Amino acid sequence: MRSRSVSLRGVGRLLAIVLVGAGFLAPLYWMVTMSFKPQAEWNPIGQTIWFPHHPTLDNFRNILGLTSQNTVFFQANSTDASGPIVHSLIAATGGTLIALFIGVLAAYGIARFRAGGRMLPFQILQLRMFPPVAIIIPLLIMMSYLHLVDTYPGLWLVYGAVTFPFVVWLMRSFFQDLPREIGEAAIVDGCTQWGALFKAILPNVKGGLAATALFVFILNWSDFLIALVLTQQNVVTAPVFLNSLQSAGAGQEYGPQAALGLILILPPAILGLVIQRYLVRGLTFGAIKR
Amino acid sequence: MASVRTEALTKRFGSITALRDVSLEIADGEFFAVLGPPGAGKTTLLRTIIGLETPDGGDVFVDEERITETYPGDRDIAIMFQNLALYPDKTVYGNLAFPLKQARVPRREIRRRIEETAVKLHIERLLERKPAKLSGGERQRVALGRALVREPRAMLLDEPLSALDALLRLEMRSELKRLQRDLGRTLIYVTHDQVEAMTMPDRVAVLREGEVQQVGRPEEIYHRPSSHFVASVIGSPPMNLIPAVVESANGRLRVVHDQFVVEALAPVERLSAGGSCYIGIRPEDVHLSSGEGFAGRVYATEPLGGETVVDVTIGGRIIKLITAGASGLSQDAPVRVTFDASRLHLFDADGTTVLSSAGDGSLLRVKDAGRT
Amino acid sequence: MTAIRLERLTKDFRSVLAVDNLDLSISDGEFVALLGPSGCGKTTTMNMIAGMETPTRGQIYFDERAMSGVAPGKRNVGFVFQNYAIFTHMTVQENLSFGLRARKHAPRREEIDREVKRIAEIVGVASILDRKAGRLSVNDMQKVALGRSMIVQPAIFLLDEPFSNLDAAFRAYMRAELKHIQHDIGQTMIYVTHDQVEAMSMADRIAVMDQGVLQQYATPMEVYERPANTFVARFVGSNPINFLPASELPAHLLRKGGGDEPLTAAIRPEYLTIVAPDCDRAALRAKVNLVEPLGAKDVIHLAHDGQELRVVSRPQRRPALGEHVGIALDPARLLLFDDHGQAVS
Repeated sequence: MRSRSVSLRGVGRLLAIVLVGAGFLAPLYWMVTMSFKPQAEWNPIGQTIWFPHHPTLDNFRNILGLTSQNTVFFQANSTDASGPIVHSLIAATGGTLIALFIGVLAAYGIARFRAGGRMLPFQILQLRMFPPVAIIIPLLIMMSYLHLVDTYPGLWLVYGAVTFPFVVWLMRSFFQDLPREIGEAAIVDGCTQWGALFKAILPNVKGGLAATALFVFILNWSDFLIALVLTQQNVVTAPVFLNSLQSAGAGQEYGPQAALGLILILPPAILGLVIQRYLVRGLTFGAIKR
Repeated sequence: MASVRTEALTKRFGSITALRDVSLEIADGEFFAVLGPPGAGKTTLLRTIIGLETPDGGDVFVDEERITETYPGDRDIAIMFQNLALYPDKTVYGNLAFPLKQARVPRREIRRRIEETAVKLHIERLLERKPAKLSGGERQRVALGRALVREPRAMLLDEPLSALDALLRLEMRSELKRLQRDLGRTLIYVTHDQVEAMTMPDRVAVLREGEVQQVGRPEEIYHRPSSHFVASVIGSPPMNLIPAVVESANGRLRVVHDQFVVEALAPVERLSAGGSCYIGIRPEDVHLSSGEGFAGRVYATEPLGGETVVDVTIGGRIIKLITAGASGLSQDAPVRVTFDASRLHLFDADGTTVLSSAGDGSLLRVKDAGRT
Repeated sequence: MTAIRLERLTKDFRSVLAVDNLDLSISDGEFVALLGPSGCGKTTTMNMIAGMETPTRGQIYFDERAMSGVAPGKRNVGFVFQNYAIFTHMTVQENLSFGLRARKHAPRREEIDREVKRIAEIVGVASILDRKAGRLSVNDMQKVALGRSMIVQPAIFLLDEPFSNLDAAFRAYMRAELKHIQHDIGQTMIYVTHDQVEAMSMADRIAVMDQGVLQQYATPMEVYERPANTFVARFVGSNPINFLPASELPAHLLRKGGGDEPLTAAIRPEYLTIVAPDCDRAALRAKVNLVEPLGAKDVIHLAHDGQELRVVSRPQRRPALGEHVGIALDPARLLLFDDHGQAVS
């Protein structure tokens, strides 16, 4: 009796896992298969194509601008996304660096010297509680006064400002996990405050720093709204470009969109793999006795 | 090598006074211990000496040079933190090299000094390892090495042995003492362990709630404690304290407990008739006796191997005594005990020492209360 | 009040054998200490007795009743941990009565109050019954934790390093208290510790464990005076025992065993006496390395042929550093071990 009920419960649990898993993976499946489908299979009427009948790399070629021969008739825009991808990389990297620079220093000050008092970290986090859309118009006006609309510096500043609260919150906890005596040991050993931060403390929060950088980079990399409003033609980020992939003839360009989507997933995924070993916690083990 | 002096050091954290008028003089090359229970301000004292805390009052001198405002890194004092604070990302070699690199010591000299220090501490085989790959005892040595390698004017050690297991601690105790003797370096050693404070240093300061209670050689503190607080933090098991009443009879002082009377054979000041006081006696100075002595009952026996602690109830109070070997006594057995009158202490109601006989048998006499 | 028997008890965590074939009998009302270094299997053994770990093999009997399949809550076991698990928001009174009030058939109020008062007297918290537990000193918290487990009158009482967070003076005080209480109430107690002083001073019998294997199970004095092997000899004793090759001792001191020739000799530091180097009682000669005055006694470190020997003596005449002295020893106290480290009887 008992073993039966246990196995029944086991089957039920498995079923639930499969169902929920399928729900989550369905969009990904759609995107991966779609990216390999020729145009005829994108959205055939009255038919569902689960797997491409004639798999092709054309979508990727188009997106990366590797081919001029075009299967798409009546194409309004180019589907060459190589420019926007480079733009996105530049914009997201710049924004991430700014957020890290300000955020790490702020987090260190807060964690070690209680800079700004007890409430400052919460006030910084509060910045994230405004929906960005609420401030996007004033931001646009401000940027246009500064002649920063449609420029990299303009995007960098906004990306940096929007994401640095995350850096503060994440890095603050990493700094707090590190015994304060490590920094003090460095000071006693002859470092300046700055020297202690860079030579003794930052090397020991490498993992946290990498995780934070990745997290912030993904936020900036996937931004759509800010780039949509603050840029026009000099800087076109990939998400904005993705949205523009539609033509009068074909409607939504599902194939190229899926291919670009897949490409956009790659940088965060690759970065994640590269820094995986730093993401493992517990690097400070051995520094102090417990 | 240098002398270290603190002058009326005071440090407050909010409403808490961590240090109050701490004045200590540590001689060049001295091994000086600071003993006190947790929260006594020991760590704050070290941190103030090295400059990680700024005192609210008072000064720190090294070789009579005032360094109260000097940057910690410029004081030429090394510290070994209680949690060691090794740099986890660096190898043992990197840890030892770090202070030397900051001081811009030439690379070849760095190597020479690290090798020399490593040999002294028996860590020469560990130089390429990271702290995470070391045992507790090895980490301890590396942390000590990082302080030593700089050849500082003075070294501060914060409970350096507290994380080690008992056997290793014993070993490190004598090793550290020998090391200090060989190097002749000024050493300030903070501990809550009375055995460490008894065995290692030249002198001890006993700290309580930020105030210095007594400074002296370990045996001086053991045999002539200035208060019953000091008496209770040094010696294990701690000194027995027996409340009693002061009575003046025939012009001589008598301290009366329901079971026995302690008579002063010479005039004693600072105790007035009718007041309360405490009699203190260490467990090793209470003896089981077959004939004479005060009647009591065995409350518990604690065999320790070579000796046994016997807890005896006398007049409603438990008195601990130490006897060699196994006691052979069972709980509730009736026993008689005697006090070694040449080892008695009298404390006033505030706990300040009034008299320590400290081996002199002509000061006090103990009598049975029933027979006076 | 329950007798406990462990029969070939084994616990195999995937990579390590935590407890290996442990046989142990604990009589009703006995106070047994499980002593060993961290990782020796003592806590795993206790967890198996409590039912929180399932043995890989072997059986646990409470009064000859097999415990396999009996849930922890049904074993009637009382627990005191290192981190006094008390409810800080309740008063001492509420903490103590909690176990009784939580019962399905809770006793009547007066009965609870009477019981709380009785236990509070025993553990020494009668004067602070109305205080909030969170405001107590660490020492008092541990007393409350002790009382809270006692009040439900468990069949056996398991204590896992209950004193390790207390300060030294209070620990010394509590040792005598706990031993007295245990003797008074006649409760079967198993006390897990790595501190040999606690095991020696309180237990009726000590089970010394190392790497999952029982090394010796005997009374404290037996463990101290007649250790079964070199591990026990080294682990027990506040002042470490002295080891030296048997060949360095005069032949007449060595008892000839039946089989193996003794390889290692050992003697406790308090059974060595310092004598003049030319004294005919001197079995060894050595140089004084270090004198550690402990107040009540001195520890004298001696160097003998590259070996370090320690002598514990009453503080009398202190030899000078570097002085050459003779060492007399009591042949009856000499321990001999074979090449496997086992005692030669």
